[in-house]
Amino acid sequence: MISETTKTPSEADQVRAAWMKTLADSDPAHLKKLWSSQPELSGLTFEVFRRPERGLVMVRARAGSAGERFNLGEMTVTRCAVRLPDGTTGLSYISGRDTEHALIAAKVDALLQTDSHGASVQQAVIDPLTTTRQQELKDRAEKISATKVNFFTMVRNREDKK
Amino acid sequence: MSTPDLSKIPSGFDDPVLNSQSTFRQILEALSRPGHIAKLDVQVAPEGFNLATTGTALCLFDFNTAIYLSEKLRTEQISAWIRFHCSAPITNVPAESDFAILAEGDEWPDLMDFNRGLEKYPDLSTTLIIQTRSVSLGSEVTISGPGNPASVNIKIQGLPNGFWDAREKSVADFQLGLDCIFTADNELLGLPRSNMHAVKTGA
Repeated sequence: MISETTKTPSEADQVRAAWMKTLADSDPAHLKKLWSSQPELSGLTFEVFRRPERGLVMVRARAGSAGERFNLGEMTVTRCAVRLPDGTTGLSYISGRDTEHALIAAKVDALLQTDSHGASVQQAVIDPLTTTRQQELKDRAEKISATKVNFFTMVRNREDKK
Repeated sequence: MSTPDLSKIPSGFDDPVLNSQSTFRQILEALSRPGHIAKLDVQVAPEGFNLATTGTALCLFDFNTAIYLSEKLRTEQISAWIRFHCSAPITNVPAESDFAILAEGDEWPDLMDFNRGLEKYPDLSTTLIIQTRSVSLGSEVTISGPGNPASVNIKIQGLPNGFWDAREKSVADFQLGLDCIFTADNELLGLPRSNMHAVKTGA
């Protein structure tokens, strides 16, 4: 009964998916700090029509990038849905159990879709998160590459063994 | 499949865990004591659903249960609501459905077209959720069977003509059959296939 979507998302959806990913990947503490540094945003009213709720999601993948996709394991996910008075809805799916993280991420998602707050929220929240995330990934890559070992493989032919 | 319009979807249970538990208890009570009117405490419903139908849907539907909707209920708003709150697939084929929601005044499919279960797995049958005007003000029908020591009169209002004959036919070869949940406002009444009914003549 479960159908998988193979359709490529529209450009607007891709942009939205990108910021939702940024929010989902973000460090909860960092996001909360950025959010509370914008008092005029915290004062807005949102209707929470799906309160943050925790659940498990089965992650399916090709183990070792080979073969068929199979159940790799379950991860904890928290999701939330909010709505602005004009009907714009914000959704969030974040990893982990932090309900406040999910709530803020949903609010930010809603605001980013509005003309009135989109640009300022992008600048105040998404840009710093993206920068941090890129730096993290870069640091990690450097750390890994520093420990890279080059193996020299000696090719022996069968004659040597005799 | 397009993204559902979420701008008007009412919220579900206030407390998903406790509310679904108490709703489940009420549905269980209604189905195990046929004739008993169970009361739910649902606050908001999408347009087209009554409160008890909404509670039953929030409690019982999930991604594994295919839902059949009678014609009047096939609206954008209801299908978006079911997808958002229950993640349940919607089907137009009565025989494929696990639950069917039938609205008053609609043309219903023949009850024999629904899934009446298999002899080995009678539990696979469709459960009918029938939206009515009232579960206490209609004409009397006597029901008797398990869970119902003395026979009891139920008074469903707003059923289509010929419903009781069709129901009789659908449960004639017990263990196959359909279970019904009648809903009105915030009340529901269960009629499992195990109970026989007799329409009072002249009522």
